Amino acid sequence: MDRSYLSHAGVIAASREFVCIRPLTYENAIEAPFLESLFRGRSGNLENTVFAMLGPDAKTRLCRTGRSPGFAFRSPDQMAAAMKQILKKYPSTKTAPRPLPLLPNVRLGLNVSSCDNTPLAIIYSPDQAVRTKLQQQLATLAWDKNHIGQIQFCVATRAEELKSLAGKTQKPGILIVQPGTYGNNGQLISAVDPDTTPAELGDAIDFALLVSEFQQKTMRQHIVRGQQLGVNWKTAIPVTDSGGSRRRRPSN
Amino acid sequence: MIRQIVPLLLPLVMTLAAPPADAAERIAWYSTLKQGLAVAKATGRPILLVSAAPHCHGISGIW
Repeated sequence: MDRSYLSHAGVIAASREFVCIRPLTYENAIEAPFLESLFRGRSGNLENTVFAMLGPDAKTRLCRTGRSPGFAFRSPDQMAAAMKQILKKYPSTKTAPRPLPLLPNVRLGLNVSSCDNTPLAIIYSPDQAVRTKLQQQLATLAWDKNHIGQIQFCVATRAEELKSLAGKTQKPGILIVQPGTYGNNGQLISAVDPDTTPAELGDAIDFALLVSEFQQKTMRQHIVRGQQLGVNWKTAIPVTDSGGSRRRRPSN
Repeated sequence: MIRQIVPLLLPLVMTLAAPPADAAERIAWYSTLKQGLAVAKATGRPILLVSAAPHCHGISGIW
């Protein structure tokens, strides 16, 4: 996928008024049919990536769907302009608080945060009430202008879910982790207790963002080195994309 | 209370370095259809959807 679209300042600015969803392809059997309904490759199967812009009903298609934004737009500028036009049709009238965006589990949390080069904040507690309280605290922080999109979040309820983290057995709280290069492990950067104050939590997140390492990755080197190291990611459902990165020209 | 890792360095780092306001801006994604579609329905906002596989040729850590 051409990522220049999704890192374009105009697209990012417009995205703040959209609900942005990035399902993890091949990681959820329930989601796969919906993605397939939006776009199938030439083989008729679900491909690695799917792009769409939809109405709030998730049915109304607001642009051409495809494998990437390049299927619908000639340039990032054109995509940003289209998003602005769409927003005129959907003026924001409801002010429901936005929940914390959560990755499905620690395993996917580590992997996705490694892909994105961001820290991962794990809400860890066996107590549902504690988890809910911490999620609410983090939600406020996650959507503020200084932190939006800068960190990933997931939940753990049992110590076994934290076995891929380096360090001692963790106490309940919020664990902020630097993901490993291949997202199959992580290093604890900071941790806060469940009774932390919002200010302390903000400090811990800012600290993690300051000290976390940006890992420059190139596709070929990453894959070759990963194969040498025996990395072998298991997806939840079979991968049906035969080609992967074939470049296609937009048709309009 | 912050209870872990280089906490002694925290005041120093926070003093010397700017907060992450200057970090590269990114899109903030919901990672599941269940959560994202519920927010869209509740807020009436349009949806930007980009699915992606967090691996390439079985190697994780890269889109």
